[in-house]
Amino acid sequence: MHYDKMKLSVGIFMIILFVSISGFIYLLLDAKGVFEKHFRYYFVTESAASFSVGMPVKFSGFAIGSIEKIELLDDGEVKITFSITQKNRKWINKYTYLMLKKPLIGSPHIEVLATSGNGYLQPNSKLPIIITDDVNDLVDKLEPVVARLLNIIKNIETLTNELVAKDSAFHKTLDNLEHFSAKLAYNDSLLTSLTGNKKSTKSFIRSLYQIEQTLKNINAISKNLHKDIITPTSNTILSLHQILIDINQKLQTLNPLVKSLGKGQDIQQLKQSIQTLIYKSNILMDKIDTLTTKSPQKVNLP
Amino acid sequence: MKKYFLFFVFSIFFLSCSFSPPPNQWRNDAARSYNLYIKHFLQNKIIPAKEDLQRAKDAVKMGGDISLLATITLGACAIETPFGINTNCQEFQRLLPLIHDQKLSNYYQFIMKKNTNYTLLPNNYKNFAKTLEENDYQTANTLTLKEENPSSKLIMIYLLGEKALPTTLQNAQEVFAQYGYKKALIYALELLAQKEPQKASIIQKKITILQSK
Repeated sequence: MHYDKMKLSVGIFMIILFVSISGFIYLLLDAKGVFEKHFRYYFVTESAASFSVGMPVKFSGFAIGSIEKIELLDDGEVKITFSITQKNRKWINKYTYLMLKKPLIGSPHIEVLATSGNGYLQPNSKLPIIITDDVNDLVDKLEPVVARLLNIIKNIETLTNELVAKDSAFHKTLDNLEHFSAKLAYNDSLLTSLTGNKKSTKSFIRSLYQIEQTLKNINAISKNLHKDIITPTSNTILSLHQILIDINQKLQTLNPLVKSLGKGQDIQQLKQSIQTLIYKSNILMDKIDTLTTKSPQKVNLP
Repeated sequence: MKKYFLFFVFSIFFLSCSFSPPPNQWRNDAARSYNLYIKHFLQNKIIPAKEDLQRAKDAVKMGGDISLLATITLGACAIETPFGINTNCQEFQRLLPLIHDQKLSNYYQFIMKKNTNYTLLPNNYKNFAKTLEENDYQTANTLTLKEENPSSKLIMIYLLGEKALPTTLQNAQEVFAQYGYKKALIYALELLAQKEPQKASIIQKKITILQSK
């Protein structure tokens, strides 16, 4: 009897699941506009070169429709049909104009030029279209570039004027350099030219000599170090080596003891954990089995 | 949109997780484990079979149903006896004084090849036990051929013993092979080898191949 209840619950659940999935799919399609009504209009051009099926029809930057069909008429002209959604139908009236916009960067689209409040145009009506020129766009883009170039040229001109003027900073720098090189040419040491003073040069050289002496002393000390310290250090290393050998032997003695300790406790715990895991897995499998089995099983003698 | 979708997903998830098993789930677990034991034992998967039998007994002990425990131990004994295992059904004998079930004790007598009251046996054995009593082995073989349950067929062949005909053994071999009951298949082949000495060597080779790893 309990299983009848279970079957009923499963049935109700399945119905709810089906209804919820259907509802979700409907909401999704509705949001995409599948169920929305579309109104079709058309325009005629000489060439379909800049048009494609699916090209957006925009109003103030918002996509209100798209091109559905492009067909070649018998007289050689091209008839292009586009559709508009119901809520945007108000923009298509008898005063509406279409404009093909072909920006230098980006994909072309059809711009709707209109105002609302002029009544709806009948579906399948013809609308006029204006094809924009590429050159104007190009000029719009190049204008700021040209302005910057002009600015750069002006700056170069200022620089050259500055360079040419005799009282400019550039000329002063050049004069100073000239003095310095003259000094170098007439003085016996570069150092004196730099410091501008022979006494400073001498004291600097004296300091250098002292540094040299100090370095020699250090060298002598390090030679003594080699005899006095290195030998005790090597003795220390030897005794350290002995200690390490001793530790190694002790560890080897301890090893079987550690192993036997490990057998007792860790493996028991591991066994228990595995048993618990098997027990829980069995419970889970029993639950799944109960869900999938149609009717309860019985114990029958073979 | 996203909120609605998530709400539906989680509600479905919680609905499905709220399922709880009935209070006597132990009975279902015991039956399932017992049936799995028989299947694994006949397939010669001994370790899983032992585990399944133990699980079945543990499940029954949770419910405290001694009669059911006795049924399970007797069933295990019945399956194992043809292979020379558990021939005395010791575990069942220990439980026998605690239950007052004539059917079970009668079945036990039947497996031990002792006198039985065939009316108390399961339906598929009634006529078979009667023909054995009357020494009508031809009919007994026919009944064995007709038996569809492979574990019952195995017990019938065991009870027939030397009186089992080669055709009966051949049929049993085919049925066991179909179910994948390797242990029962080898048992039938061994009996067949005894019955048909001219084919014994070939059958023995078959057995060797089946038993090899």
